[in-house]
Amino acid sequence: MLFAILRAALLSCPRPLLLISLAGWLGLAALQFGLGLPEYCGSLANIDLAYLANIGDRLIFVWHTSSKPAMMANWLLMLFAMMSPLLAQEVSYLWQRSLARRRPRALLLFAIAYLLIWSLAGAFIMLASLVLRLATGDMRWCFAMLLALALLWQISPAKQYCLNRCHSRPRLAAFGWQAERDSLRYGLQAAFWCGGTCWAWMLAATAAGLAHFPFMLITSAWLLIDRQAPGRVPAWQLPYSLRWYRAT
Amino acid sequence: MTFERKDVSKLGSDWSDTLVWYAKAVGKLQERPLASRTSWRFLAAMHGFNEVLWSAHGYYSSGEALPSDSDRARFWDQCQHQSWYFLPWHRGYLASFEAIVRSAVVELGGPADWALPYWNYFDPDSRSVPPAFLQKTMPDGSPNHLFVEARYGDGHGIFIIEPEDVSLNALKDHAFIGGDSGGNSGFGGPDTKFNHGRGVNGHLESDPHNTVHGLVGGLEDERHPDDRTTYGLMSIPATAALDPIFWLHHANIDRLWEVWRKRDPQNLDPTDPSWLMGPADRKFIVPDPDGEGITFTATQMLDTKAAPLNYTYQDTSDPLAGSTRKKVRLTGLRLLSDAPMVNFLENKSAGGQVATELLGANASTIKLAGGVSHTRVTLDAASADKVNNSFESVRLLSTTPKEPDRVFLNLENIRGKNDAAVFYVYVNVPNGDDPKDHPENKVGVLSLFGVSDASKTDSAHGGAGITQVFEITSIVDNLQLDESQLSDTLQVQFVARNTVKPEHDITVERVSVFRESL
Repeated sequence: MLFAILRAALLSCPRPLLLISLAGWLGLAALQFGLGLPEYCGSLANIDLAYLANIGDRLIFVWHTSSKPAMMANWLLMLFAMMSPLLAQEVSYLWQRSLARRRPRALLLFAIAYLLIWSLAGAFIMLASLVLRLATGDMRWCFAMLLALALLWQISPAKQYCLNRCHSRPRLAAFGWQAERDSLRYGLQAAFWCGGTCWAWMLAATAAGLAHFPFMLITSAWLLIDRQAPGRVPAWQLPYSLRWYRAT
Repeated sequence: MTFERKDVSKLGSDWSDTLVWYAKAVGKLQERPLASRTSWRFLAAMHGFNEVLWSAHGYYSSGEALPSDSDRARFWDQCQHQSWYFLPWHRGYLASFEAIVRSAVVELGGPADWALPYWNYFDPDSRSVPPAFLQKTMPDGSPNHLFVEARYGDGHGIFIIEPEDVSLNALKDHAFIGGDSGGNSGFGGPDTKFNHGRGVNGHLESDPHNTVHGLVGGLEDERHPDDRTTYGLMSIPATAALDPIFWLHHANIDRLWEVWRKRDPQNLDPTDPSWLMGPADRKFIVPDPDGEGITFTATQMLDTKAAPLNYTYQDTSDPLAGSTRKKVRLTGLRLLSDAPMVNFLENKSAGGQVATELLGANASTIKLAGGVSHTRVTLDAASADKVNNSFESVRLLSTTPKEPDRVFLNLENIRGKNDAAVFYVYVNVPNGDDPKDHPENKVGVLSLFGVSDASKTDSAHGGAGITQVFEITSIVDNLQLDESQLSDTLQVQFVARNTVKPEHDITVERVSVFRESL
């Protein structure tokens, strides 16, 4: 059942989005296994920071010893890899309901607004992750806690509230500056609700250490499956796709 | 054994045996508890269940034993709307209902060949809800279970479907599968997953199905706006199947699917595995007369004479004498007698997504109320020119003409609280004139059946409302014939057919026009 849903989602995804996603995954794989993961995303176990008394010092240390371009590259590649298939419905909606001559512009503005919000969200997630890991000390314990948090968020009414709004299709003006405004607004809105739905998984992923890459793959697949489900009344409940009787 | 579903107006009398037994069987089904899969209310809840509405109408008491979580999750709230599953799902649903009613009829001592009759409101002698449903008592004086209080019609005791309210235009379509990208929505509706209601209405679903729901159920004017019994049972998907007329209405819709299939070899059901074997994310399931759950797919719904359906219709003859959309268009463009039409008359598939392009839209969200509402759609010059240019081969009297673009009006993301509302929609009525004097400018009838649920964000329906598509190709064709062209604006008017008030908050998020190139 889950596999069927995933397959259907990938088949109905516009090809360009799938290609972008694939490029993202390949780039991430290259960084992870080829060029070496920046210590930031990988295990911090090798760094003995005990001599730095407080978190502030440790943060500064990690900040100065991590490669910023690598961090940015990693983050952007991750966004392309994971987000592209999730945006199939938004992109299709924007494409079909815009004037032909405005389509590239509409998508660009949407993408810019979307990436902007996610980059801000990314900064917060990364900072939070760093602080938590440095505070906890033990990577595996930190990851376990964040995974539990992600699972808790997954079944929460708040997450369902955000996911319901991921499905929204706002008015798109056809002409003029209003059209540009509406494309930007759509991107901001989609990123905001997308962030609200997925932040906990992203946070957990940053603490996965060596399991980072496979964890992101599995999380992406799961998020894509979850995204296909219809809206529901927000409540504490198991994900739609996992209800046992749906498999009969 | 195959059973014959007959025309309710041709059964010989207002209270034919078929209806007498139907009424008695309904009474029997209504005695069964809610948790019983073959009870009246369980069957109705499979279409839709809403605790608040059901309680208000007296069909559910707080604290009453509901079926198990598993039964509710698998059986209830299943009805498929705004989807290509609309026709096959309702076919299976009706077959299950008919078998259960027949079983009850037999238990009561009635005939073993009882079959569900159909209500054909296109027949001039049958425009009104059949009299047996409008009387509070049966001929012998006992309570009539076919009568319901909450059926308001026009609000004044009239339950007539007028010729202007409905049409058989859907029968002229060849493509079963429609798109949801602005172009034709298909005879049977767009490709969706399991879809309990939201999105684009298919052609037959919209006209006559939705309109009849709204005009029969209606709304009770005098009640307080917050009184949940304001709307008739038939008006809202979550209560519609509680009204015994629902089943005769749907038998007619199901019959029209057969009529469509039979009337033209180019009318093909989808062959996509996802339609035939789907939906992938939740199986269709109905009870048999013993209460066993039987899952089904569209594959089993293709031949009504075969098991598990076992029925035929009394009359599936073609009411339109072979008229099809293409033939009507060619005649309109005065081409039928001319050169052989390449790609005009061929149709080898069941349809699907086609190339569509936005031509233009109006400036802001509009609100619809009683009387006449209007808006102006601005068209993009370059895109409109593409439509004009598509007439080239026709204008030049080419020997191999290509069918020009089709043009569609989209009423996107309609939201509101009044499911019973019905509007006549007009395009380009001359300034100052009464739309009613211009039937040639009427592009269709808009019914808001399902709108209140579709407007709820925190539900399966998603909050995007309902999108209605009307073909306005004939308007464009007429412009061409007048040697005029599609210009930079279109005027659209909405004339309320029944009671609509400002507090119903009916909005159309965007009114747009699309071209579909062929």
